[in-house]
Amino acid sequence: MQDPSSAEARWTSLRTALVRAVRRQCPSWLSDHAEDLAQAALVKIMSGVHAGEGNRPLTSFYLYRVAHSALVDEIRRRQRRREVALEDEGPDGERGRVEPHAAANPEQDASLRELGAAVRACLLAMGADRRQAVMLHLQGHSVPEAGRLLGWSAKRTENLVYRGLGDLRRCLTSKGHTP
Amino acid sequence: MSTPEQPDVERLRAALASLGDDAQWPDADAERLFSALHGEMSAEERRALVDELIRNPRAAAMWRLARELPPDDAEMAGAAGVEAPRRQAPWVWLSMAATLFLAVGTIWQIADQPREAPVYRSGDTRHIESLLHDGDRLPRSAAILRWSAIDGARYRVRVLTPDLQVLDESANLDTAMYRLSPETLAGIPPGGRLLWQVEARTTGAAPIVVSPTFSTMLE
Repeated sequence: MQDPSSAEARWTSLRTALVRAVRRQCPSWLSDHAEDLAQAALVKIMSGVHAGEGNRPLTSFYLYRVAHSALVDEIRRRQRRREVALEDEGPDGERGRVEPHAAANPEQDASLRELGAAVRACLLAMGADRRQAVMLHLQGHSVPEAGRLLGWSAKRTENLVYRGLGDLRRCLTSKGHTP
Repeated sequence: MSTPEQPDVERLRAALASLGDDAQWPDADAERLFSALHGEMSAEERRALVDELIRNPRAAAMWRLARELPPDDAEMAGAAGVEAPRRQAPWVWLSMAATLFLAVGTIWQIADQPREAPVYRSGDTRHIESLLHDGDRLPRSAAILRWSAIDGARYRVRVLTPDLQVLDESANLDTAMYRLSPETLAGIPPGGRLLWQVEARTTGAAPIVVSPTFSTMLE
């Protein structure tokens, strides 16, 4: 039988990881509510784990995968709610109450999104190996990590990332962006 | 060869990430993404998935979240030996969630108190217990929560649904009981559960006593 205090410590540890993930990766209108998001995901996980998993051991992989899904669901739910609120205009044209958006500077935000769209377009136009290597690099992976995921040696991956970033910079410049 | 990391890479990362918050992108399979990143999948399948990340910035955002949640069997050392919680009633797990939920509020409230000079005390043995009997169903017409009293204390009670929606809250109670109105309970189905917790405060420098989260079934 699992010691209740160690079980609770385990959930607390998972909760901490969820909060950290939201704070690092979500826009501020979501990351400001990281505690709430993690809590909602955790409740969903606990209910789901109980309802469907019988007596088999809960591996860390299983638990974190379910946690990731629950967090994604909760984020999506809040995004939908926010979209509805944005569309919900009152009779005097005043918008419904919404959580504040991330952008401290809307111009910078728009500029960043414009650059993001250009990066995406350039990646889609790039050769497959280079674009996959560069995409994982832009997702935050180190060269060895990207190589492992893509099934290539670190040397080959480094080469592809290096050349791919060069292609990307040239493409962005041709579209009028300064990388 | 020079390292591919350049000063502009962080800006390119931020630019690409900024697309993920847009409503236009379709949903993606979160479990598949997580498994591709942390589990077994062929390199060919992964490459195809990386192309999907480029096409669908929402999937890319999910991938970045998954990257922040690496399973760690060393960290979760007890995992292999942990029994799945079917052997316990669901409210036990929900109570744990509620405990976490309520703890945040309690910590916030304690932090909000004026600071006092540190006082050295012997171990505080006071605690709060539910006086409702296990297995008893709380009648809707007389839904009274009762707990063990602490001399001179005033109490705050919070009542939650199992999905942690706050149903009722009352502070500054001077007796160790609280009656829930039928209206408060109207949304709880027969046999549904309430989670509740009590905080006791006494005058002077004595610390706040917080009860465990109790779970009670409604008739």
